[in-house]
Amino acid sequence: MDIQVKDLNVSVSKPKKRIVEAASLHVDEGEFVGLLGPNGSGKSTLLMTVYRTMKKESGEIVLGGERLEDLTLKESARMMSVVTQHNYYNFDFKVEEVVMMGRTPHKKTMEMDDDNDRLIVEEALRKVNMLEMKDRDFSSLSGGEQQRIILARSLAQQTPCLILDEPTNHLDVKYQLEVLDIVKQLGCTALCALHDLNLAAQYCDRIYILLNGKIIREGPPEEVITEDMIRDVYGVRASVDRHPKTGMLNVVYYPGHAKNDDGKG
Amino acid sequence: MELGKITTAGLCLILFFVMVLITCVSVFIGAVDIPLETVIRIMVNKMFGYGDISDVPTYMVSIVWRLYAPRALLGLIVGVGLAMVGVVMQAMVQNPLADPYILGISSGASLGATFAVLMGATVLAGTVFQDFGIEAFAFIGALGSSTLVFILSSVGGKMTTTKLVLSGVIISCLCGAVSNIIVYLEPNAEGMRSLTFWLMGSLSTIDFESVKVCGIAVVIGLVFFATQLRNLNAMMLGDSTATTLGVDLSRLRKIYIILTSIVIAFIVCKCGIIGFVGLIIPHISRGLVGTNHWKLFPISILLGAIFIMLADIVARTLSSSEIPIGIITSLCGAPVFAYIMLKKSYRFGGGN
Repeated sequence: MDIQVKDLNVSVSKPKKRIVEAASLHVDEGEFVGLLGPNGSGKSTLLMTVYRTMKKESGEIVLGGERLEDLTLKESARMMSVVTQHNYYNFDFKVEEVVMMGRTPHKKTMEMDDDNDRLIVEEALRKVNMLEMKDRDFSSLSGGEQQRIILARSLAQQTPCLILDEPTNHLDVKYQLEVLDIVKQLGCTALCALHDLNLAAQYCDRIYILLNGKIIREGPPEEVITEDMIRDVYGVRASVDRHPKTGMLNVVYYPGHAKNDDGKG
Repeated sequence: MELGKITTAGLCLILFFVMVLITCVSVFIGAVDIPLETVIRIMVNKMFGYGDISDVPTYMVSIVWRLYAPRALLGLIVGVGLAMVGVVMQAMVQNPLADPYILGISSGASLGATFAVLMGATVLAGTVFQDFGIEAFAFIGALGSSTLVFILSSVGGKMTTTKLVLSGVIISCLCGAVSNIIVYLEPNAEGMRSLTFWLMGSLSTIDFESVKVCGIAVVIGLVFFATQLRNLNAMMLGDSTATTLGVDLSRLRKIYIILTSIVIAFIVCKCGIIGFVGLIIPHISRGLVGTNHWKLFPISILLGAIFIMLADIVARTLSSSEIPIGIITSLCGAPVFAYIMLKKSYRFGGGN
């Protein structure tokens, strides 16, 4: 299932400001697409409009050939699941209950959870290596563990598309890699906002760069993540090379006190 | 906290029997001068048409069947209704402090009812409203105040606990003040009596008609909300997550506000303001079975019924004259309120 965003405009009213401007992007079936940009560039807003917690001003979002506004919330929740960085609940649920919520769009309102649901939940917890935690209170888990539970919930939702908004924020390196590895292995259509350029280079098939609400670059990591782009978009000097051992793109930033322009001094 | 090996179904069963037992106790305690055996005979005869009670004095039959049986039943219904509304409101605003009393919904209903009772006849004469019942005005009051509280607490962005509770206090004070003005503008015995009644609640002015009216409202609410347990769970995860799980919050919230307002309106009309039940009961239930509404909902309504009936028994027996039941529930509720406020595991939606 593919995701298409055409000419999307999103504004907030107070203060009146356009957050996303004429943004167009597409994520093909099974593709892992990264959305990059500095803080406040509109990444989250764009994603929130796609997963329907924000209203668009104009433009079109199409999910698997169907326009979003033609789908009920329940229908779209069966097509895309969402992992965000904010997961802070006023009430405490058990881990298993949180993951079971992923089954919500698949159930009728009065339908009880059945063995099939429990199996799906168990499988999802196993995938994120949290099965032994299923009876714990969600609030008793560390941030990284909670994040993996939220990922498990979206796995239990069994959707062909996955939207991720900086899913690796505040996680230890190990779990950053783990979360993205799990998503990558699923092979589903994924649109993911990321902070870390190295992670983006390692995991994304294609990347969009967002700056001041506009998409300014698009392409595979090696074309997009360049020294020029990092200077123009982030205002930081960096060197981008292939890492000698992994063969992957490797971004190294120059701190302000680095000796000279090419950093080799 | 888990209850060892007792399952939720088992706990429900136990609570159900406790509830039936307390209902009986409630009837018996009222009728102190009548032998237990006679009470049982009257009840069995009236409920199942079984046995002969022609040898029992008529006044005994009246006391048991017209006074204490409906009273126990009303307690049960009101307890179920208040606990249910508490659970729903807490899920709706994702906040353990939500309660129809604290959020001013009860005061709104009370204002509507006071207005209808004391000024309705004169002010509304000749308008389309003159044929509306007290319940209709209580409903308008409840709906108006809940809508106001929700609007007031969401001004300027996210609804926080502080804003929610303060909005409740504001609306509550406002409704209370206007109610008092009405009472003082129409100074009569009826007015003063209503004032105590509306402010402190009582199960004393009842007959089977009240029980039926209240019962229908609560059962309608019960049947509807019993189908909403999955949505209530999803709501607890917050607006954004609930939306991504396919739950249409804005639509559901409107339906929930209307239905809870109806239930509160009928309860307030018949029993006045009985505070804190919607706060205490879901809180205790969560301690027993956790946050999952498939478990929380049945446990809460059973505990609610038990709690109100117990409070009513205390209200009746503590002194020679009856104490308003709202005083008893507030005495129990205020410390629980303080405890919830201080407890760390609730987070009150303060953080983003």
